[in-house]
Amino acid sequence: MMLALVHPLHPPEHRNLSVERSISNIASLSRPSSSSSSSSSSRTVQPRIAQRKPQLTHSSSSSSAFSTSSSASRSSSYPSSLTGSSTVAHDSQKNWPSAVPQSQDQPQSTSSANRPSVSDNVSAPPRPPTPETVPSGVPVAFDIHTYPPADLLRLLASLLTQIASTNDALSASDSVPHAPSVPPFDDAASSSQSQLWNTLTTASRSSLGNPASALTFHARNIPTIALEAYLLRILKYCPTTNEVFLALLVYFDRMSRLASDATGRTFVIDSYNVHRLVIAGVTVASKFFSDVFYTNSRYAKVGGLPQAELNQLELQFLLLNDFRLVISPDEMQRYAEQLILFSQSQSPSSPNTVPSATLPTSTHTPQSQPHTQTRPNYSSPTSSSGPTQAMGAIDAYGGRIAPDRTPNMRSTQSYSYPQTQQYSQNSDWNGDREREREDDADASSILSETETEGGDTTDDEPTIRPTRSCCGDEGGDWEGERDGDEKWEGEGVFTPEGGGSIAESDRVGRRRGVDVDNVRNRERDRSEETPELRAKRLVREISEEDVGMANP
Amino acid sequence: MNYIQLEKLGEGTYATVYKGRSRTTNEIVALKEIHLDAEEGTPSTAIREISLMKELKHVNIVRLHDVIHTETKLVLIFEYCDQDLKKYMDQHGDRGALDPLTVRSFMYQLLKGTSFCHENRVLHRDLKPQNLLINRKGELKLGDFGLARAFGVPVNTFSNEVVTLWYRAPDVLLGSRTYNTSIDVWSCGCIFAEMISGVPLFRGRDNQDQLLHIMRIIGTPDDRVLRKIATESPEITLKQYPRYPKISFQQVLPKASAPALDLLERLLQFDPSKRITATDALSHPYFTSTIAPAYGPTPTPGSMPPPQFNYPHPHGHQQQPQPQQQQQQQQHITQQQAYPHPQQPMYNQQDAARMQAHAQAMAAQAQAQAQAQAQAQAQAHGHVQVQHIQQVPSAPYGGPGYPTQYQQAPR
Repeated sequence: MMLALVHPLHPPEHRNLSVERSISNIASLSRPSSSSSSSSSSRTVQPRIAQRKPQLTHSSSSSSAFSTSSSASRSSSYPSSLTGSSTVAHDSQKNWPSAVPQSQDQPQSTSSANRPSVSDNVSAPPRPPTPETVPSGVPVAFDIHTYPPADLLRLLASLLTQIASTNDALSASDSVPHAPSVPPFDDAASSSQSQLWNTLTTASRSSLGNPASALTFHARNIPTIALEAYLLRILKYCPTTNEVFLALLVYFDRMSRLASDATGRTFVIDSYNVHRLVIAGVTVASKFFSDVFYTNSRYAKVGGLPQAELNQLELQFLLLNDFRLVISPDEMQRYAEQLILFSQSQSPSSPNTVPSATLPTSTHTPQSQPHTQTRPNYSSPTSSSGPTQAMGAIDAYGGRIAPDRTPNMRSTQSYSYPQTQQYSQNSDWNGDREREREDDADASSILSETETEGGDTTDDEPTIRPTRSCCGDEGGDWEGERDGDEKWEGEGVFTPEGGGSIAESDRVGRRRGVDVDNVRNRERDRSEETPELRAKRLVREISEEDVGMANP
Repeated sequence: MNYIQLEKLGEGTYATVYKGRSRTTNEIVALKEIHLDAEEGTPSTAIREISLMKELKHVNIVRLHDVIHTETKLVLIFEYCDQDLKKYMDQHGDRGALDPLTVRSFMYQLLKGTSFCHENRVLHRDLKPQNLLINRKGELKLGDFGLARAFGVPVNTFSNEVVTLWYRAPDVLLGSRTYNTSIDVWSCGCIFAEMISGVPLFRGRDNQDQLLHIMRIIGTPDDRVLRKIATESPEITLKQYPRYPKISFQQVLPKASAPALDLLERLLQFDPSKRITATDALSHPYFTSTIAPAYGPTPTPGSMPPPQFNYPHPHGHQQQPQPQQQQQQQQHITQQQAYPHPQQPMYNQQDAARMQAHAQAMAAQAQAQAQAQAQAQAQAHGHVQVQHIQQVPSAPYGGPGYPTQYQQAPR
């Protein structure tokens, strides 16, 4: 995680630059590399981006990956286990904590304080919306409604993980060469921007106009939970329909397009923000699409972040989409089919399309896990080896997306943490929620742990950490819950299915026992639900207990 | 903020509505302040209202001009309308009943707006007089999209706790969760009858009672029809219903013309699949045939009547309790508008329009107070009304508050 700490150093504009490629390519990623040229042409951007396009293309034919991460995570543990490249990062990271306020808006403040916003100079010529104009290529028979949700989420996770890791890599490599090459607005671009600008709501304009808005989603550390596990967790605890999840792709795409079209600045999905984008997007999409949705407090618990933060994310998500939430059935279908095509393009044979020149060399272990919880060493600005390295990371993962890889991350967890608690400064999160305490614990700070960091500690630990290791605003609710540690850790979803180390096994068992209480608490929370829903829920929860908790 | 906040118009569970004036254009607007709840974040009603209304730009739908975000709240800037249909009927109607031309105009606009929603894959799901706003030009606009939802994307999680009870379609009352645009059409039918008679057509106390009220007038459908409906919406559970014969709408609404009754019949079909669509209803003979108007120029078929006899309404001076001075002024203006001066041929159309605008401006001034009050009540009423649904015995949760009716899900 130490590398993650470094990340805020990256100028936001770097990430922004890379976004364009990634997100706009949700559609094109799914197609064979030939398609990439079309996508790049449809989105002519500034030179740098265009130049990078090919890389993304390659990446699309391969799948996403974090090679280094897996090696680190398998070693289960500690900074020491991280590879050499990360060490470099470590040094730079050390400087960080002191320089950075321990608050969740740290990234914003950092960026605004330290960074001239180069992004303002970036011009984004008008371009046609990508996904719509992209023909869906091979027709795919795909019934959104009946597709198995878990499978859908695996595909989704795979795509998003790839996008995020690609952007991680690009942003890392971007961090060395820097943006001055970006031309200022040309007239055409700025006028079309201003036209679009005028159609936006004032609220969205002010959000889009502020580069810090996008950083709301930016975690200080890469969350330790893999995206796939995260999505499946959401599905398990906040079940909803496939459309809601697919809507994420549409919204992410719209956000990135809107940002670049309206401001010339791009919105990058990377490993630091993808989880928060997902939970915010699910919250928004559920509230918009479905008559049955959950309270924000539940989404927050399931998403593992404080409710106040989720509320913020939700609002920013709305603003950065300019409240454009309506999705036509055609559009939804198109995205669904693209997702399927993407998955088909992920067959093991495809990675060959990556030119050997860009192949990764040593640092990446081919068998690495795609999980984002580990720290790709390319995220260290100092260690950046440019595009080659970035591509390497992607390539290393090679064609293995997939359905069955989840358990891997689990084994990496170490429960014995040095506990660097910085208890909460966050009193409102603290105060009134006694009743939900344990409940909070269940999900709680999957993400919050990544949000803020106390300097010394374990933040480079590529495993799931107890919430108390987090600090800053979000740590708040853990105060007074010290004895709730086990409860939190016992959350079934995060316990290692693979059994973790032997030493930990009894610990796991203990926690498991506690977790039953959590389930009860959840039930208590649900007193307001209709009998019908309640019945469904209870059924679901029983099985949850079985599935989620049953560990070796 | 670019708007000056004026008097409060109403307060609901999740929003407070103020009158406002633009600093730049002086335009009068309605400012709907959304309270960002710590527990709920952005209310789903606000999310839906904003995202749907942003896309629904139509003369018969209240226009959402802008959204402003301040520290703790979202402010929705809506076009200002003077009052809602409920208030309008109370003030201008003959014991609530509107004259046939006004009914026709409003009905046409209601269907026009509804049809536009449906074409854009939006179900309003809460059509009722309190949610239909009338401006001083006699334009009717659909408002309050807090319960609305997009239906193109097949998220099969529809709630049947929708639509204020009296305007709720029988299939929804039966428990359907797979309803479609026809539920809005049913509401239109109920509103139609209410404009004609001055009173709500079906006034049930709860879900079941509401169903019986409906059956007492349109008759209990035969078993075949019920079974068919149940087949189309498997979530419906049928019970035994008393066999009521159908009563002709003629008896219920003796004042209505034959074409009006025919349209009503088509709107209020028990079987949702038999209900006319809003779009088709627009070309019903009721709108296309000419009715001899009681006064004023004949409106273009299907169009709203010209403002001068639509607003201020001829009955207005009888109904509106106003300070003496204002009332006199009002009467003067009313006459001026209601009976344009044909004896002054030098008025070209532009002049007339200008004069009219002037007259309306004066009227506006005179009535500002009363109308603001009206809208305030209207807004407040709207929210109260929603609570009303929730308090009926059949509703599973009695908790007050707008958003809660969606939150069937566990906390």
